[in-house]
Amino acid sequence: MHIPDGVLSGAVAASTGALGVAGVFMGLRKMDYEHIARVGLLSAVFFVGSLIHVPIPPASAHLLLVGLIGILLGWAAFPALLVALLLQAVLFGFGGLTSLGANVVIMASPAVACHGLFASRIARAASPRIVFALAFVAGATGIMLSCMIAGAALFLSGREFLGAVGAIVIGHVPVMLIEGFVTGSAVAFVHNVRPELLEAPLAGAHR
Amino acid sequence: MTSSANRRFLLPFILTTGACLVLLAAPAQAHKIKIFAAVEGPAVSGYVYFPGGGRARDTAIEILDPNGNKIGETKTNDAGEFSFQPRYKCDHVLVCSTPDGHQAQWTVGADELPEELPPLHASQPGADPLPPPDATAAPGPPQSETPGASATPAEIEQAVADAVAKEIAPLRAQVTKLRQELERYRGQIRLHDVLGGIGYILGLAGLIAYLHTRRMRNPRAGHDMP
Repeated sequence: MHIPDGVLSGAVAASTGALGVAGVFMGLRKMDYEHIARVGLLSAVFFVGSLIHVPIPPASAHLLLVGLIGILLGWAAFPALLVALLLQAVLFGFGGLTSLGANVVIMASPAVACHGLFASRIARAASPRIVFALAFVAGATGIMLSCMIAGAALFLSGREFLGAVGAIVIGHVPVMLIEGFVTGSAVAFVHNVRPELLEAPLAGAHR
Repeated sequence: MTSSANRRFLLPFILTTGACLVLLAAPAQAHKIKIFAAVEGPAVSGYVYFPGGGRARDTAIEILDPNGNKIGETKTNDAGEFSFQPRYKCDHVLVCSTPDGHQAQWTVGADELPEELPPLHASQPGADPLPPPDATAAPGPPQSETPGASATPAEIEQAVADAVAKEIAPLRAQVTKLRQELERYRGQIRLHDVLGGIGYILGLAGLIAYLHTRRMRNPRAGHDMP
C-alpha cells in the first residue's frame, strides 16, 4: 500500500513527513550501532518482501513484514524502512517521493507499536507455540495498523473514509493471515536459534 | 554473541532471501497501477491494470485538458477497459485512481486524435463517455456506393480514404499492441534493480559500521566523524 505521488494533500504529506523525520531521529538515537548489520538485513528483507506478490482478486497486495521488523528492531525500524522505502520509490516507482514521509509513518509506526505490544511478551514466552501465536498476532496487527494509518492519511487527503479504509483493510485480510504465518515462523525460528535477539532487542527499553 | 552463532543465524536468512529472489524471477510482481490508452477510430480506449497482475475493475478515470481542468470522466468495466469519445483536439490527460490510494496517468496527445475535432475552448463542458466495446470500428461515414463510370472526385476521394483505412487497420492494431508491450516492459521489476537496492542497503550498513568502528577506536579524537 505504498502511496504514490499526488494522492495525498500537501498538508498531510508535510505533516507525515515531519512525523517521519521525528521517528527516524528517535530510531537513530536508540539504535545500537554495534548491531547495524541486523538493521541493514531487515531493511533488505522489507525491500525484497514488498515485491512478493499475493494475488487477491480484484486487486493485489504484497507482504510488508512490519510485525517482524518491529519485533526485531523496535524504533530502529524507522531508519531501516526509510532507506528501504526510498530505494523502492527510486528503483521501482513504488510510492512517491513526496509521500515518502507518509509511507515511512505508515510502515514504521506499526512496527514500533508491535514491538511495544509484543516483543517483551515474546521474550518471556514459555513455549515455542506461544511464541508462534504471539508473533502471528503481531504480524497480523502490524498489517492492520498499517492499513488503518494509510486509510487515515487518504481520508485526511479528501478520500471518502469508508471507501479508503474499507478497500485497504478488506484487500489485506488474506495478507494479514499470510503475514501472521510468516512472522510467526520467523520469530519462532529466531527464538529457537538466537533467543537473545528477542530478549535484548535492538532499540527498546533496555537502554 | 559468538561469531559461530552469527553464522548460524545468517545462513537461513541468506537462503530465504535467495528464495525470494528466485520467486521474483517470475513475471513482474509489481504493486502499483498503470493506465494505457490509444486512439482507435473516433474514440479513445484503453485499460487500467496492475503490472504483473490483473486488470483494475470499476476504477474511476478523470479526463483533464492540458491545463489540468476536468473535461470529462469515465470508469473501467469488469475487464478493466474504458472508452470515451474526445470532443476537442487537445492533449487529454487521463488520471485513474482507486479508493485505496493507487493513482496513475496517461496522456493522449492531440496529434493522435482525428483531424476533424475542433480545438479546445475555455468554456466548454466535458467529453461524452461512449459505451466501451467495438473500439476497433474504423472511422469515417458509411460507405458510399462503389463509384461507377461517372465517379466524382469526391466519391473517388472517399473510396480511397475507405480503402486506406481498411489497409492500415491491422497496422494500427499492431502499433497499439507494441505500445502496450512497451508499457508492460517498463512496468516490470528487473532483477538487477532488486540486487542494486539490496546492495545499497547492505553497503550503507557497512559504511555506518565502519565509521562506528573508527569512532570506537578513537574515542577522544578531536573531531567526531558522523
